[in-house]
Amino acid sequence: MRKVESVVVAALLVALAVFVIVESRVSIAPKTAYTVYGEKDASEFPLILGIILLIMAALNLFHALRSAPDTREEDAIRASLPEHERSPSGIRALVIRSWAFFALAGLFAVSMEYLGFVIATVLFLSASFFLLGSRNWLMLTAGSLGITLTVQFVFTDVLNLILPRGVII
Amino acid sequence: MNADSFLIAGLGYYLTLPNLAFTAMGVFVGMIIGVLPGLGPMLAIILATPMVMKLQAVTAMSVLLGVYVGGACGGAISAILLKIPGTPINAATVFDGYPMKEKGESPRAIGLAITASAYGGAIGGIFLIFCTPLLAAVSMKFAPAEYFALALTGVICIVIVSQDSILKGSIMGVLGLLASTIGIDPFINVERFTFGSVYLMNGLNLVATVLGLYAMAEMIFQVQRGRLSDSPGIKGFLAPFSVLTEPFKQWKNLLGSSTIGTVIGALPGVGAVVAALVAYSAAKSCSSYPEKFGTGIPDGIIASEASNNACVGGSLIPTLTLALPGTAIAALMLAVLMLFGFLPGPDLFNNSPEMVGGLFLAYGISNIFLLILGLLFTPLFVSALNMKKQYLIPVIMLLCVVGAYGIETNITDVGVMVILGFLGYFLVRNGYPVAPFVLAQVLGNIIEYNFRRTLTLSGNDYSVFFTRPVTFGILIANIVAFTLILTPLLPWLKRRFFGGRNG
Repeated sequence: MRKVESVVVAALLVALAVFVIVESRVSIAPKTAYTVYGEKDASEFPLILGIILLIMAALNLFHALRSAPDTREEDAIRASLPEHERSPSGIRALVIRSWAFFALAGLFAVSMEYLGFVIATVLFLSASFFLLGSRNWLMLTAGSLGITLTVQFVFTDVLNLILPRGVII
Repeated sequence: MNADSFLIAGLGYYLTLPNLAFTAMGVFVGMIIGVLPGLGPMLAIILATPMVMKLQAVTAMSVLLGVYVGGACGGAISAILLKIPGTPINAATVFDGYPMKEKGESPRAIGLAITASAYGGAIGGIFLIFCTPLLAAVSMKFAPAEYFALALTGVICIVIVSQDSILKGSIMGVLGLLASTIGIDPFINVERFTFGSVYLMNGLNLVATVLGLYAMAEMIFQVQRGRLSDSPGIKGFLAPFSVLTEPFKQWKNLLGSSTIGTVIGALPGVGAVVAALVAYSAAKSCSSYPEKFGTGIPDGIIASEASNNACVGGSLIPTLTLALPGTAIAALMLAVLMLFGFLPGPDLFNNSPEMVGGLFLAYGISNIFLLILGLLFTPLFVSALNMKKQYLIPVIMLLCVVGAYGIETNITDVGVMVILGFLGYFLVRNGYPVAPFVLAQVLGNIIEYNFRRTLTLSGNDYSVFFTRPVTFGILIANIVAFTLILTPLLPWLKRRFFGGRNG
């Protein structure tokens, strides 16, 4: 499975390189065929980069096909885990939890404009704390609200940034 | 202009109460984030960047410099107490810091790490103040061709940075250069890779990109690393004030390590990790009792911490004078400076001496704050180690999302960050380093602009790159450096593609 993933990533890089070359020649170059002061074509730099990327990505794909996948990051993760979380089911649980957390962050980003910063953030923090294993009800409620209000104060009053107010509420 | 003139120009510009308060805040935040293993100054600066974009340029830069200085030192605390360096740059501090803790000398060890960092940083600052104007005077004679060649040196550095996997590091570098081409062409009013999107016309937002690729992806890994509810249960303590003078008793070690840190910091692509290890080795070989190194003596902590903080000052020298950042952090600082409309290099020194002076002062004062805050708030920084990841990770993710939104008050930036966070996770998981991408995205515009400007000025004559002595010299140096780096790649290529057949 990991081998397939590393090959897919390498293949996607090759596809990206081909896309850059085609886009440079087909889409950008015709728009810049004529320049008043003789400047270099706007497609030339991306084209050069596309060709370099294609060569490197092809080598990389070849390497990915012929050798074992790079698992250093996973090995480091496994080494850092305590004994009771190091089993396959323990690792799987953490991976699922990490992606659920990522999805939660995405949902938070989307909901912020609708619910407004305060409500969306309190919900996000409470849900995340719970998802990551906290069962401390003080942190899940007052803690989330306190952090939200502190962040809002720092961002809006100290740093003059604008935070979304929301359209639904 | 000389160093004095810049400092005088910067006095009125920087020395205000809010600027000092923001600098102190930067150092404090940098220390807190630096203390936490796995986070470090890079993440601290990434998180702080969107927050400071609405401040004045000098204030914003002083916050970031404070974060950089604080973050570089903070990792020493976890290195000493947990034997886990907060960041790789504090790795050499473990050698003597942890044995000192075992001997029951934790407060002294942490106090020494803080004072040595502050003094080392100050010495790096002196180098910065006096070397930068000299180098800037040289760079004033440079034309676009020289800048192109120098920026290309930055690309070579990208490869050096990613020495673990040269090919993957180079791929990320090229991807970063490509990312810099998205948007309106700098010479001709033509869209490149925008696909009709108004958002992409201004290019890929660098801050959102870095937040996604680096910070968001890192948070996913942090959850996967488990130990979400672990807390080492360390109690806070104060460092003894006797440590204030202790590094001076080893002035040769302090001065030598700081000089090593500054020089290595100024070399593109090398960085503080190497600086600390080289300084530690140098201190050991110059010592009259080398056998005691690694057993818990102050010398090792002083060498490591003085050098890695001096490295911060050193890394700013080429960044400010030549727009040549040697590390991803320096690249980010350069990018922020450019976002505020300051182009590092001769223009910055000619047109904005007050900004240059402000940066010098901000860096110097950051080190003073490091000393004061570091020693006064040691119990707090030590207690920060007890922070549970189950609370910390969501707060960092919150700062990422709000930070990305706050740059332009645009939800699209958040979307870009989330997508890049997703991609960043798979790239890092498969061994593709992120630092070269950041460096290249910043250097991309400089490379392309100077490349095309040189050709336009020479009537599209490519020989201009070989007829200008300085350009030719830098390009030759690049080729030599690239060949040297490539040397381990060649046997690898032979082994991979021809080795099997030849047995």
